[in-house]
Amino acid sequence: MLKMVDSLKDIVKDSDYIILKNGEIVESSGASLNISESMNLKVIHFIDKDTNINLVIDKDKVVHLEEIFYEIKSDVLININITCKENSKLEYLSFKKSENASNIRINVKTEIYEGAYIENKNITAILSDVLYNQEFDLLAENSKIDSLDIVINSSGKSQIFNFNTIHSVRNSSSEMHNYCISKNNSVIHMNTNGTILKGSNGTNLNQKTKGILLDETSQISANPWLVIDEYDCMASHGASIGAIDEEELYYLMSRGLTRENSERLIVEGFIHPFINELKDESVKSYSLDWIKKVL
Amino acid sequence: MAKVLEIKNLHVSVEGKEILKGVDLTIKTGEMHAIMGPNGTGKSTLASTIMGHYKYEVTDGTITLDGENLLDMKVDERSRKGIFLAMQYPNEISGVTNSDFIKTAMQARLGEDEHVSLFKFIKSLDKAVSDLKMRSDLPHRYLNEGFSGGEKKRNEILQMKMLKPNFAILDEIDSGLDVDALKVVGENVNNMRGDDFGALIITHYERLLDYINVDYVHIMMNGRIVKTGGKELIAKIDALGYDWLKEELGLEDEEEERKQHVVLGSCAIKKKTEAK
Repeated sequence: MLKMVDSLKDIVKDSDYIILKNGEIVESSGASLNISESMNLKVIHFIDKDTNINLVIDKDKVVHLEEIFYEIKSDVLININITCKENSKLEYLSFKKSENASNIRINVKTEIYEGAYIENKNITAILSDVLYNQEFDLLAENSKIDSLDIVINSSGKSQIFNFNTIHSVRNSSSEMHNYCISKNNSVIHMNTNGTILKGSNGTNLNQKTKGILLDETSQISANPWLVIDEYDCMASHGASIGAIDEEELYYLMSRGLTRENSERLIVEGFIHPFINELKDESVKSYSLDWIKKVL
Repeated sequence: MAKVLEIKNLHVSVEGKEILKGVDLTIKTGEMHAIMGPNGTGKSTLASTIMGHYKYEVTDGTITLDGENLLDMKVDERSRKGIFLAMQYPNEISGVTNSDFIKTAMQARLGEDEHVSLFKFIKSLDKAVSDLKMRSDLPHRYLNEGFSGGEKKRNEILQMKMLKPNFAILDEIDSGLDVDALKVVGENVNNMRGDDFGALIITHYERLLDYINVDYVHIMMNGRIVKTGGKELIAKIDALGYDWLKEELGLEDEEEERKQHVVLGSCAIKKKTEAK
């Protein structure tokens, strides 16, 4: 598989890695997705049919995982199940791309147990129509998720994202930031749902969605919902959509940047919190090259 | 030879309302000017108009920089020509680090074949951060994001020090600064004084001017500069306010626009529990 794709050779050099086709390992450094040691891991996926992927982080382990969906073909359903066991920590950076495809469906379900923490950073830059369902289940006390999801749609098609966060126990915390960039007559529907079930006292839930329209023909809809069945908790949500703020442009231009450079800097500012967290320079440059291409 | 920023008979409107009603002002490099005046008299409008803010419509008059018509230039061109505005409310730009932004702004002033030397850039940025007694992690923080009011103001001065403009307009740079920060900012501005640098300092209070040695003090009222003098004017305003000047010139207070609250909607409802 690796021989087919020269550009991946640098990515898997000198590190633990796994290359999977449709969820089955085709090449690896010996690592698996059932992770029982603290480690840095790179994962590369090729998908051309319906696929199930299971990632398990064992108790007390600390894992930094950088993942690229290198190729996603048309008409596929990808089910990703992530389990973070007690007191584990997962830094999960996932980059999903595809071109010349249609009808891609992705379900990501994440279960977080006691004392476990996920720092999730995800970029979806798929040139296709997409239905994406993501669910974070905070299942035990002191579980925590900080999530940054960046959606770039320049496919000219419609993409639907349903992000659900469910707090079912007390003293759990979720911070969800969703950024959408729409271009080339594309449509993004961003539905964010936060649920705090009865008995989940001491819970924190925050959601923020920000959408940028880069032309007049594209659309973004943000639909934030909170369902709260507990008094002793904190929850907030906010959403804003628009073109790039003229005041921000004015500020940057007042320092000598042209309008085009100012716009580019602001859009890159959306992406940098993801890119800056990538430890591997090859993954970083691969991701940036694709983003530049689709933007 | 000194550069000249010249404003003649400047009339400016915002959303149809005339704010500036004939401002005349000439600033040369090597000079420090202060503009003082009561709230709502057009000081910040003047600053924003010189920089080219899109909301301000020049209805009459001229602004020239060494004879070139500044009003024909876009905001970024004005900046590259040597105009700098330290803003009252600087924007927060998420995801863009301070150092990247400043380096990009410095690069914008160079030709296509020229590049900012990374070594020199880091050295001069470190020195400027130290001069302003700012946190050393500042270059890696996102532009103004999560900054306190005082940090934002210092960051404006940091940018000014790095970009080395010919003319800096400081729009109430003292607001939000504590006494120690005020001294640091004032001294840093004063140290910019030189043959290639002129400043227009907009302030309500004399305390900033304890640290900046200004050559001229202008009083602005009702959209015009109504009096120009030296530092003696600062002490008089500090002691007596502006009423004496209104009486002397026969000016009346302008009616401040009354702002009304607008309810945009509600994003949550509490469902009534039905009695059983």
